[in-house]
Amino acid sequence: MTSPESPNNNPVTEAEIMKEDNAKTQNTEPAAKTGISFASLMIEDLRHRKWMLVLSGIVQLLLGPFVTVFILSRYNSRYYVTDPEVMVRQALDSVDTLFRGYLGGLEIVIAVCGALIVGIGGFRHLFNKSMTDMMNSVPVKRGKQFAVIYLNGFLMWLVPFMVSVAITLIIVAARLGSYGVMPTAFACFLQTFAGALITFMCVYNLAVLAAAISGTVFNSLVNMLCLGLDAAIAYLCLILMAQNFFDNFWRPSLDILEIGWMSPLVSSVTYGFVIADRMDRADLYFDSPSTVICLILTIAVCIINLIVAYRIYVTRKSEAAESGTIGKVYKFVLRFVNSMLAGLYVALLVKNVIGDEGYVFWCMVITAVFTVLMFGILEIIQKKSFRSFFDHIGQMIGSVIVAEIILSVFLFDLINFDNHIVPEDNIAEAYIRMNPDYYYWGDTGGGYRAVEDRPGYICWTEDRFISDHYGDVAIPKELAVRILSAEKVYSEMYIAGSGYTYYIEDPVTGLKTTYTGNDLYPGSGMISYVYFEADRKTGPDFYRSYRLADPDLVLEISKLDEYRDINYPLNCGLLGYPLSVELVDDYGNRVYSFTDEEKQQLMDTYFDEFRKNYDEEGINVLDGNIYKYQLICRYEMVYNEESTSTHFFYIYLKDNDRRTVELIERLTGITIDELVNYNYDDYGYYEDEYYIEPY
Amino acid sequence: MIEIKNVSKKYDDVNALSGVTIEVPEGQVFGLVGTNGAGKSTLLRSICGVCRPDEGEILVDGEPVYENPSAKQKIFFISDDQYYYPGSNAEEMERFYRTMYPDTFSSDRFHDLMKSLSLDPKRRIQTFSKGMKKQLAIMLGIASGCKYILCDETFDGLDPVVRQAVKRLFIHDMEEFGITPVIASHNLRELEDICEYVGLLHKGGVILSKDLEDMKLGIYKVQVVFRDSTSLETVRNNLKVISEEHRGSLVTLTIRGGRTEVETVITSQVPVFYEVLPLTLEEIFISETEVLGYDFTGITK
Repeated sequence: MTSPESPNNNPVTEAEIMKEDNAKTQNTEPAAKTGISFASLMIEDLRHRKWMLVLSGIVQLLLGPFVTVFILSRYNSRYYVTDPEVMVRQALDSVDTLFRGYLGGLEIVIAVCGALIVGIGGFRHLFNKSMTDMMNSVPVKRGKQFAVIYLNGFLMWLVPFMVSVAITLIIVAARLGSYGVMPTAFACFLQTFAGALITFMCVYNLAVLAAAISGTVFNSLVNMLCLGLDAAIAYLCLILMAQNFFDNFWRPSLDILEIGWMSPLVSSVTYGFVIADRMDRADLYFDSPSTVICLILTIAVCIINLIVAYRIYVTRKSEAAESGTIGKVYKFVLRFVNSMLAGLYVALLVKNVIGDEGYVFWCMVITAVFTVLMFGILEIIQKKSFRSFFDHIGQMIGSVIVAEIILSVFLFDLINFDNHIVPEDNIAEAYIRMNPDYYYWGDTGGGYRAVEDRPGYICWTEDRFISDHYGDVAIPKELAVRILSAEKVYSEMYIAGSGYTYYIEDPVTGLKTTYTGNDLYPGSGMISYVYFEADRKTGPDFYRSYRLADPDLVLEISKLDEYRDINYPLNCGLLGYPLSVELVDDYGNRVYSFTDEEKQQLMDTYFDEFRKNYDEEGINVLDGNIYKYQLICRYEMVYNEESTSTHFFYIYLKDNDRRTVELIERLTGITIDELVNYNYDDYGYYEDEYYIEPY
Repeated sequence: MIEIKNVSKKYDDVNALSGVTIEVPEGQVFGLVGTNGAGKSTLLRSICGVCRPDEGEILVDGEPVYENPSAKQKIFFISDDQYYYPGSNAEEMERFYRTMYPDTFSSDRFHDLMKSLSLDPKRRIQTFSKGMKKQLAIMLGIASGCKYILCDETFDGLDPVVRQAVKRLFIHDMEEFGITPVIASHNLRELEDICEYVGLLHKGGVILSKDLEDMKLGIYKVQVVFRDSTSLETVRNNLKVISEEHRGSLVTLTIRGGRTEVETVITSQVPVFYEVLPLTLEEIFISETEVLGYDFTGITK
């Protein structure tokens, strides 16, 4: 074969010959192979996704400095003080608010959005066949490609972040540097950075993994949601199922950090906020071993996601581009888990809509229907074809069967949860928490304590905030056994229904009180809810919610000192004297403000009277009385050394607070009748003739 | 040399390639022809390391190609739907490939070629016609300085003038730099002009792979008028007749074998008239695939 037009026949210049010779040399005899440098690949990759860098830069560079200027100018204009100490404190407060209140939160949001965009956008060639062909045909190892794209994505977030923070710190230094706030500002910046970093890395690695297993952007987003949330959603589903279908289910609320570590979207954002906001307040979060372990697990999951994403990327078939989702096993697990979750969640909805009668049949039917629906929908998404709905009919039926089995476990208590009672000899410690039915009786809701050496100031009871026994009262074993026995009685009554008659004998008078099945309602006086926890000698802790079919037992529990103190710290005087106490009438008007001396005398009387009444009557002291008027007690709630806020607590005075009422009448000259503005007759309410002008 | 040894590749349950064994010799234009879905694109994508074969191996100058930058440095793949970054122009793509082939890419060559084809390197590629995009891909491939240029349906969409220019370019570079273009196409007439070596694929397997001239020498079309029907029977019995067509007394036979052998048997029957003609690549392709049942002549019945 000959060339149609031999180059030798063409008139060529010397320069062209030189050029051709050069080209020849370049083509045939590469003197020394330089290879493709990592840096040049990074630059090349960056060139083709400049828009991501520009977007990140605009958002970060505008937002950070803008918020800084806004916050600092707001604080400067709010206070006009000359006291240098106050000025320094305000400056520090401004810095704290800037980083914790605004930048910390904004940076977490930016980190989530940024990680999503650079994660899925960076690996966009996986969603385009011709781009995949191009990327895979060039002489670069896939591992190197992955590293280039991954690192570029990270830098696209990090560099604008750092520049933005540098500008922010410069602005802070310019405005408040003279107050010596820079060490605080720098510490706050580190906290913000740590929070944003963990959020970004968790979401970024998840996004990269989702992209690696997907053939389209839509599939990536679906996979990201499933991988990022499924574990937490599944856990929540089991908890909700237990709460809705088991009569006795209860367990103390778990911190989201403790359950969310398997779900990167949950844990990354939560930890991001916690670290950015509270890392320095170690007493709140990071002295709890479980929280630290969960943080370590979150980081471990983040790293595992990256490793798995890398492995999938380097072994991924090029033909996966533009297909739905890759990996037969993963696709099956995704369909299996999510279809069951959909079915079970809808069953929960049905139970709540239908109520307690006849829900079993409908729950089972609806679970089957929605499991099939979700299975088919996921199949369509994964295969990008509507015809794929019934592609795996065997797996679909399997999912329905497993979903029905799980539902049946809760519907019919197949694991004997409700009837199981911990054996007496296996109880090490026992705790109870009564249902807070009576909280409206002036209760503070628990969780407060007085601040030492600062009368009128209160704070959260941090011990209880992180305790496993939040709000619980330790009870003697004998009482625990009685509670368990009462549960057995309740179970018998519940089974017997309205035809059951039950007698309780007063040990002193010998009189018998008769109860029937119709009394089996909370608030009827017969039944009270109690949350019961037993630390077992062997085995996990035992948590149940019981209805006590024994008013005497309820009363006895309520009379425990610890129960009283935890639930009524204000009424018992445990919060100390309020900063101010005011008297309020029926209209809600504040009609009298007590002097400090009067306040002390009044509160002493009230505390003393409450405790005595309580000792005699237990929680019955709070029951059945209609308040006539109330006292408003003002405390200052301390959040940290700098910030406080005003809290008002209400004490509702009742008929049996006779000494307190008499003292109020004596101190104010106002009688109870004068305070009651509303009365009722057969025609409704009418206004009383008395009216006291608000002071 | 590219050695494809017993390569198989499946897409789900479909066999795209099944035990393919071909050698692509250096310094020649290798034509890859095949029926629709024969696996031409899959084979090219496997040769350049885009796909990993399920079985077998592909060696480029003795090195395995998959995940091997050293071997891939010698290959430039022009797909039938070449990717260009959105919003990019030719210069930006040139920069991309210059980064990917730093040791061999010649920017001067690229710009010269662009100039000679009157393509504006600063114009956005998305405003290019289909043919211009193909031209650009070929220019990038040639400028890459790669030893092997794999072209998947590259000539489709090129106008005849550019097609000839590209052919000249390939031949020039083959002679000057020893490049080896591997061209997959349906347009057999185009391939016939340029290819020296041909591989025929059908249903993921190789029907034959040999020098085009040898191929043409091994198969002939004979137009003959016999005196009686026994002559035709004798020819059938003594030669490998692939197909025959009757128009009145004129019989057209496609016969596999050497020219001398064919002529000897035909003349021994003392025909009224006979003529031995070489087959075109297209006729060879049709004959060979017909034998394997790839025949749609009954479509109009």
